[in-house]
Amino acid sequence: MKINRYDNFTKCRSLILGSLNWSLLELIEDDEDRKYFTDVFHSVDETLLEMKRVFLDFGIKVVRPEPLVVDKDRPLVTPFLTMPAVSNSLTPYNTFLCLKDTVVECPSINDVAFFDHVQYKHIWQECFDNGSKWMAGPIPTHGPDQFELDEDRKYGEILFDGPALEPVGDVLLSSEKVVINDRGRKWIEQWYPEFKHHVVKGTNGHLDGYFTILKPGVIMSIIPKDKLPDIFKSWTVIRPPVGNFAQPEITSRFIQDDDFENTTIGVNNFSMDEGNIMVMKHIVDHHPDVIREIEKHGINCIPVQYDAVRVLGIGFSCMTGAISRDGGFENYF
Amino acid sequence: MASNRYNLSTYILFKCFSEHRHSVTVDIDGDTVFRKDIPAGEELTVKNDGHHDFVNPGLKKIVITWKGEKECENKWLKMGKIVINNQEIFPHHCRYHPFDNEYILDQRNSLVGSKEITRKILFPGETFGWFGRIAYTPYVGPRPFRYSIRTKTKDEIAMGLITKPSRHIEVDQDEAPLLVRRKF
Repeated sequence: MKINRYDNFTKCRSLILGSLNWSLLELIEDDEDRKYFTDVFHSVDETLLEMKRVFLDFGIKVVRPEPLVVDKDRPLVTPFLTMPAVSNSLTPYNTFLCLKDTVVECPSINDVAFFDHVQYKHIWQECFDNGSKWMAGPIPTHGPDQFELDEDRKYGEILFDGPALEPVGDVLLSSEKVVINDRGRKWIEQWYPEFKHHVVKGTNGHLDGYFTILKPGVIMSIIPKDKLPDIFKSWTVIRPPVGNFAQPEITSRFIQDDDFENTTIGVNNFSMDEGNIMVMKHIVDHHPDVIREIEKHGINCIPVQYDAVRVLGIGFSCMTGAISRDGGFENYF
Repeated sequence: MASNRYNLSTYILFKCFSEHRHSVTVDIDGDTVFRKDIPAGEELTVKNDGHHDFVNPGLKKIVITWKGEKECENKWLKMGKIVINNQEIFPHHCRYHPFDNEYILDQRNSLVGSKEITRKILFPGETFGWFGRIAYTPYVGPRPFRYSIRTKTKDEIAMGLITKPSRHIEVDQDEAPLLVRRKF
């Protein structure tokens, strides 16, 4: 297994599919809430099984993280943080950036992901042994002084999440703020000067919460066409269904993603290749107009039941991290 | 000094029925504000219309506990409205915790049954058919932090585990989103 990633839409050969860390349930003190999340986990487990089956049907190699079991007597400590656990191993896309032939362990903006790399070590080691490159961004302190700088985290120590960046051939798109800061962007631009860098204005969250590039020339995006970078001006923009829901109660940051403000789950899909995309079943059921629009471009929508999506705030794209796709350093614009 | 800033109008409306004797209790932050035993076969409309002193800003828990003397098939609890300070908490924005009984345990032990229970818990709707607890957790008062963890404050970092509400209740009604404003 070797890393090769220049986009999110060409034929996927291998990926990481998230795993549930059941021991995180121990952190929920309220008995009823713990029971509730046990049901949520059972539901997610079924979704993961179905996702895996679809990936295997497409001949994609699936690898899984190894969840770090919670040990209440052994908190995880840094000079500025004491945490009972590391975030759920359900979201491999969040903390790693596979780009070209390299994996970058990201200095995540999310402090509870500080030790996330432990859960994926075996995967990157295998890639490294097969000739891939492996590096880490500058390790963040998450010190309190970093949060006094400004609330959008524009400045401060180098921070960025994997989905704050999305390659499209020879273009590297980045979120504007919050999930990446100015120093983080500069670090990326230093290491990857060969890419044409474009900031997607107005984005405060992960790019996979704003759009999915379905194939060259077709993008499903919550951002209107005139607000996307100019490079998309000749592309077809499909508007995803916009969820109108109240944010659920957040019980644990180790289990749920609470960035409901900046995320449209409806776009958070996963492309197996340019002709097939995994879509949540309720979108297929309730938004046939959107599905027809996608299918008009020769793309099959493969429905997978995912009942717990609203509770977790985590979509298919977050739950999968492509390691290898066929695409290369091409100009798609 | 005591303040009545968080003494807010609180309106709770629901109906329930069971073939056998049953009871409902409404608790707000551990204080029982309503309790009634209901005779078998009688449909009861519960309307709790008054003021509740939430004392201070924060996450509040409104819990409806519905118990029955005996299990039966023909029983239901329909949530009507929960309105605090003229702001509605939508009836389905709750966590539903059915009590374990023989039926629930049997269902949980079967593949189809456990799926049915999980779906009902994830999508509770407004009508409940199993005895249990129905919990709403609004946040009353000024928000101590922005919603997003991406922009969290220093205090939140120290908290490690934080909870966030499913619904905010503004003390100043003009700050509430139009969608949830209700007048009585």
